Amino acid sequence: MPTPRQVRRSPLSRINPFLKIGLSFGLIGLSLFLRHIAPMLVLLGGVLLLMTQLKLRPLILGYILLMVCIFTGSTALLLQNWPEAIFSTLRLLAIVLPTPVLALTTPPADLIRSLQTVRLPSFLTLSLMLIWRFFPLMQQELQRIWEANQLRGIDLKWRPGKWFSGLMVPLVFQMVVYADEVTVGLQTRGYSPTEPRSNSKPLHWRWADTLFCGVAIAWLTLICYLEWGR
Amino acid sequence: MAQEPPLLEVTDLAFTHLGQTQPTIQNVNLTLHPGELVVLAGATGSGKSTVLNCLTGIAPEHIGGQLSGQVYSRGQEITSWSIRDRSQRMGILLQNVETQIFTDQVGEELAFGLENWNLPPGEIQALTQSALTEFDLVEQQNWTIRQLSAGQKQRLLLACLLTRQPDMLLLDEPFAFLDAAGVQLLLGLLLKRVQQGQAVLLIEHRLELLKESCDRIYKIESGSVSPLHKSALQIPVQVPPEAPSSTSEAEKTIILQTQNLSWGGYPPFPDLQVSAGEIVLLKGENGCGKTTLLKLLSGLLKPATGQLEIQGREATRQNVVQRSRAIGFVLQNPNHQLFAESVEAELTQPGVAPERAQKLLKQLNLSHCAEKHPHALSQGQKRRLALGAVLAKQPQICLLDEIMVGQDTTSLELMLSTLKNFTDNSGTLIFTSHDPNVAAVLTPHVVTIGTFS
Repeated sequence: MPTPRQVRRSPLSRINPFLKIGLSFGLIGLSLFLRHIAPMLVLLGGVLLLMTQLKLRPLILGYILLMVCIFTGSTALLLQNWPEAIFSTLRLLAIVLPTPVLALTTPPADLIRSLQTVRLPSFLTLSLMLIWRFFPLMQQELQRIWEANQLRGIDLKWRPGKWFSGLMVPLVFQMVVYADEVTVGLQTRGYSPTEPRSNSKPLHWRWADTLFCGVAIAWLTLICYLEWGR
Repeated sequence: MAQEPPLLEVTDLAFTHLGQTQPTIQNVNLTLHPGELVVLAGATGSGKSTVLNCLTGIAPEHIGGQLSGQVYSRGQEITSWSIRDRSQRMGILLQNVETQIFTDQVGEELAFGLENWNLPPGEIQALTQSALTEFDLVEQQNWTIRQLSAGQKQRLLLACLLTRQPDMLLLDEPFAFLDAAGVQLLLGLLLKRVQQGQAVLLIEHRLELLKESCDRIYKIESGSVSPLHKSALQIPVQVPPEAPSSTSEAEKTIILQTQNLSWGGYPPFPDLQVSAGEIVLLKGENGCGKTTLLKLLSGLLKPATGQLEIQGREATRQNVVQRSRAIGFVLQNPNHQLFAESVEAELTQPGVAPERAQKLLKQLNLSHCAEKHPHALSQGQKRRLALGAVLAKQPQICLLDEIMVGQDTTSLELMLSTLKNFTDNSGTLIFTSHDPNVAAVLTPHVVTIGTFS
């Protein structure tokens, strides 16, 4: 038997999901109002620091970087203004990045329990449940399809012409199949958004939450000070 | 016991898929009594899964189509009940277990199902612990789901379903990915439940596993279900094992060689020395690293230590695309490997002669659906097509990862004779399979994985 492999959760995954949801909303909201580069850099720097908790593959990071460069370049061409283009890119990253950081550091079971606590409308709980399950599955599928192409001697990295038939067609097929199968799977496991559900591990406020809360407030205060206080 | 109403009774059930004029299943009558283990057997595409879908409520609610007839549970009609309502009485295990798992950790997954049924938290803790012990998952309690092998995932899901003690269990190929020890463990657990008064209805191709244990067998053929006597079971695969090759050891060319390969938390893999035309079966319990070794050989994973030689050349640093010239790899899930717009096009890839593609289509009994879209095929046909697509490129080495799962006797025979053809022409085969019938036919050299040497 292989040696036992324990789950190594990042410190961020142990933080109360509500705190992370609140912080994400706060960061996205703030990023919409920032006009100066310094607070924007502080905001984004903090988000990137949080992202170090995620184990992203270098290839994915490479693609993100490529997309950022393409976006900045095309914005600069349209606006004929490089500083404005760079600021727009930073704003886009500040809007986009907090959500995956939250999503990838919140175990699905914790998310359901927190949604239960706030008694969100049932249709919303179900949708979030499915999305939470759906995206990791699709990420896994994407990787498997990519590898299957490589096994046929096709390296999609260098063959964008094959992306449609080699990647999109099987992926869309899997998405359609999974969307339905996951809904059926949820029901076979007894889940119903309208039925009462117990909670075997209620969320408790911990010292780590207090610490996270304190650091987050200090961070947001610094951003506000740099933007409006000087 | 005879006076009790059946746990499940189906009368005159028929189902016609959306857009079809002919019913997929018709005149289905079956019963399931407390303390019974009943098998539903039939060829690939005969309608077994459709019957199961009708019993569980998946059809027509999610599949769409016309259902007629009645389904009763303990004398109460449940035909109009939702899947969730039926799940109160039935433990339902679908073919693709990944779509029934919703958390990221083994312990959490057990708790998830119990929370859905609103059980008190104290009871959930106790039931979770007892299920982990019963299903031999204590060691994996804190593992992430991604770290589990396919067989371990299936065992986990069964633990989740059985924890609630439903009246009956409806299982779609529960032994598919289990090793011999896993099969025995599960069979023992099912029989224990049966003795306690629960009933089990399962779809399974490996009937030799159940012949002694099951109470009754229903056979489904062309959509019609009929009782079958146990003695009428067709179990052995009919491809005769061939006499060992007369080629002496000295004449054989070593085509693949490994030394001290290791990866992740697995014990070092045994060294392999495989000759052209040789058949190697990687054997070991679920989660021991069989798939991981195949991935290391194909280049999908890079070894932490060790060396690999292919055709006498150092290949450890070659990437998967470079190795694909010599190695073909058929994955567990055929859906990932089918990209073309038709079955025929899937085989007629660049560099593949049309005659070879036609020959393989014929060998694998896929000629009649050559124009169909690959994703419109049944699961068994897809597996055969994925095998054909790999063999069409005439690799020197073919790796197979549990592709015989879910194949009925006829389909398995087609696969095995095609593989025999491949090895007779000096192709090397390295595969994983828990099915003893496959090993009996291919007579492979067995390499045990997962033991410290």
